[in-house]
Amino acid sequence: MEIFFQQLVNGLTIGSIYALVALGYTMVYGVLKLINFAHGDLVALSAYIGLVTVMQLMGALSPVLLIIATFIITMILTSLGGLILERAAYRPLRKAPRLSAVVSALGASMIIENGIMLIWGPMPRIFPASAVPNANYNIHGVYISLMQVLVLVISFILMVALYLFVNRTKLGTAMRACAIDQDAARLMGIDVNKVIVTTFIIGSALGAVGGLFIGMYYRGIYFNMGWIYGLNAFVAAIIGGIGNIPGAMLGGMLLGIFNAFIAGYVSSSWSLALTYVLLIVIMILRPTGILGERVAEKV
Amino acid sequence: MNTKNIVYYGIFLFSLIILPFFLNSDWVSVMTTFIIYSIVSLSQDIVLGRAGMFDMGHAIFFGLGAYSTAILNMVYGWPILATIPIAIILPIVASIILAAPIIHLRGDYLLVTTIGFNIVFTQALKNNVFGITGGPNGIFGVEPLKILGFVFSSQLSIYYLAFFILLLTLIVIHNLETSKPGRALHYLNLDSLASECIGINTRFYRLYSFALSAALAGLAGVVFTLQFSAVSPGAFNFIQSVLFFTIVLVGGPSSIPGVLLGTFFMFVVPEIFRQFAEARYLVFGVAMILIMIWRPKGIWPVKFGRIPNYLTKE
Amino acid sequence: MALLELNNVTKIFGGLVAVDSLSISIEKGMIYGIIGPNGAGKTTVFNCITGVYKPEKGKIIFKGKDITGFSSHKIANMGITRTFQTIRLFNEMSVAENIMSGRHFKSRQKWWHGIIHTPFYYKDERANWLKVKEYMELFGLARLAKMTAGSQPYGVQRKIEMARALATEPELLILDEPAAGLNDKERLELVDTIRKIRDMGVTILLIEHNMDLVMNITEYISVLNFGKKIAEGKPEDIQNNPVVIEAYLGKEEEDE
Ligand SMILES: Nc1ncnc2c1ncn2[C@@H]1O[C@H](COP(=O)(O)OP(=O)(O)O)[C@@H](O)[C@H]1O
Ligand SMILES: [Mg+2]
Repeated sequence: MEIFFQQLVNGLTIGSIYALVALGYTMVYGVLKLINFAHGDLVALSAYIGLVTVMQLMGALSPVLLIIATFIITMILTSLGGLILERAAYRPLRKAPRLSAVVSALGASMIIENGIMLIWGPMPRIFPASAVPNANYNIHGVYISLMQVLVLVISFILMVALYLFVNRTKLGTAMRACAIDQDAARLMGIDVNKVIVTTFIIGSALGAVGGLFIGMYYRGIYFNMGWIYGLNAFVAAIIGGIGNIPGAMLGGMLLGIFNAFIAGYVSSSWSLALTYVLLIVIMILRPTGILGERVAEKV
Repeated sequence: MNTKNIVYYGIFLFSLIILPFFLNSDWVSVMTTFIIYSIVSLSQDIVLGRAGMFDMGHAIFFGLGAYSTAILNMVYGWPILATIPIAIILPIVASIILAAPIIHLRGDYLLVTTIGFNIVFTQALKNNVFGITGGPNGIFGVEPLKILGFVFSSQLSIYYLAFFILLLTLIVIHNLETSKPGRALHYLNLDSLASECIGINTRFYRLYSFALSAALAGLAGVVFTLQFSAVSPGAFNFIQSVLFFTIVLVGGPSSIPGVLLGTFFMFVVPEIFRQFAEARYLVFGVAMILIMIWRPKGIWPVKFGRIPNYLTKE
Repeated sequence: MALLELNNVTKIFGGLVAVDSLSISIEKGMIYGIIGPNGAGKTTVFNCITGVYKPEKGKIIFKGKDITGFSSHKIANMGITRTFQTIRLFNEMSVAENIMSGRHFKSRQKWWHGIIHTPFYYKDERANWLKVKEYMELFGLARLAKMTAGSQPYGVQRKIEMARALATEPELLILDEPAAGLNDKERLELVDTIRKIRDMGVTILLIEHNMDLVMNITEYISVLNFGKKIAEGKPEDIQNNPVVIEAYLGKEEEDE
């Protein structure tokens, strides 16, 4: 039973990270109907930005301030990256066939990934252990580290904030309107460009938090980690129903817990494959994901 | 085919025939790889370009062909020639079994599911399923092909073997293009509902496109095994599938010259810039974006309207 | 026996009853009209007949055979083809290739002809392209054969769509607002064409908003409102039916 709860805690931690990254995929998909393949690499980039920031500021700031500063700086810089990405790789292709934008996204992904390698080298980099104090809490035999608490709490706050933003603010409503029908939204006077830019900023900022968590939680970061974390998060978004914000949160959590239990009970050499078996089974049973709506084509 | 096209294809094929006489053996080997990947890309185009299904797991069928030959030869001692039918049939069967339950999925969902299949496939190869795939290192030392006493062991002989298969592929695709099944793929791609309403069984033709493309990819896999006398999981992982996918879109979906150009651009050009090592992929990414902005339908887009002359003449 | 019969067909979207227990019967060789205000459920009826939607209740019987729930291609192959209210052509392809799509089922090529070309292939291919030529000539499209369908003017696109449906050699041709967006000259041409098609032995079922055209061309009409049939009869009876005038014609005057 203790193993069960331990894995549940671990799963929720990884799941929160997946969910944060998955939100970036799902939000962009919602408004642009585009799989932003470069998002995972942006997340990897944010981990490197975070690492540089921590190294620069360590010692100069108190631990709490250091973490806050690192998050803010990384989120800002990553959002900037997301903005450039939208501007350079996606905006010129808005009217092009949908697959052209997919290729552009793959190209952008290659640029970021190899850019990271050229700057920071092909070898893994290690986050300093002292970035977050290594404290553990023992609750009836289940261990929770301070880092895990941080991941869970911050993710929860961000997701609630996002939920409120999307459902309670004017810009959030505009975002939902664009997701349903961009042309109609434009005719209603919504500034679609502004909505798209906002989507990229928020998606990238959430991804940056995810990237920082990956760096601080797993410690080792490498230039092509965007693919694997990105793909997992993307799978989470698909499982939840891509384009659906609560779906991405749910999908992330489910996938995280699933992965944790696989790691706890099944040989790790099959764990990656099992993630995709889960995906395939869900796609066969529910072709638009758990919370995705089936839209009947009007003829 | 009009005269202009015959001349173009004639020049292209003739250059491929004489090319090895001007190249050293390293470059003949690069060109052999180019031909192998051209076959795979052309087969990927049947599903992606023509039938319009976002298949991002095409390396599975390529790999199944390659592994079939390697395993049957190394583990069971079959002569290479005897492995070829299996290396075609197995990918066909796999493609139908894999595609049947997901063929109705909307574009992006199909894409993700096929990525999923590809990842499970490579993971299985790495884990040495049934103890025959050789694990992460794959299988080494596959014998050369022997036909009627002739042994395809030199680089040059493998080059011409690959060339022969490419020629076969081009003929098949040309036949497809000018037949009822080939047109059906375009129709269902452009408007699946309208196709159904004029009597096209879209599900059948979707599976058909998967089966045909898997067969060609499997055949390319055989040549791959012969070229390297080895197979390993890395050659068939989903990153490779992403490459084939990209080649078709960069070159021009449904366009034979486009796909050939795309393959050249993605496989041969990086070889030319080998000395720039790592930075070349960065440049590559930039080029992919620029090409898509400049030519959203690919470098050499398809032209429809290939209709017989007697239709327009009085 | 009627060619097509609908018995109590009901189609529901969410809570909305788009077609409510509709029964109609179409005799062979007729030109049958369905009219009704926007949103009355006319297109939905067509979608049920052609297998695009599966009705929740009721039966659709074609030539004595129950075809309810059949897939669209099967229904098309049995002899029912259609045009769409919003034109659905293969835009990137040529006019001739669009019409050739209608020959799909009639062409006897098998799957292997996509791989190997046999002498039979050449014979079959030629026969079907010549059929395409016939249909292009019937609709006056011959000189546009090589042109891209999507770049043709609206009126021409409507013709291509009809030619494509007719190329399947259907027994029942279903036209969803064939005159929408046409000018007067094109509309007169359309009336001629529809009559010509009927004279070829094809039964026609159409939805149309243009009252002159409907009254002029159809032999029998059903009027739909909120998914229900509120009247049926010969055009002159419908024109004078007070229920129809109130529900439909009256409403149209309000709009103006
Ligand atoms: N796929 C669908 N999903 C939901 N509602 C639909 C769908 N198709 C049609 N409807 C609704 O059914 C009603 C009838 O539509 P339709 O048959 O298109 O009317 P008509 O052709 O008579 O103008 C309308 O209220 C329409 O909004
Ligand atoms: Mg309608």
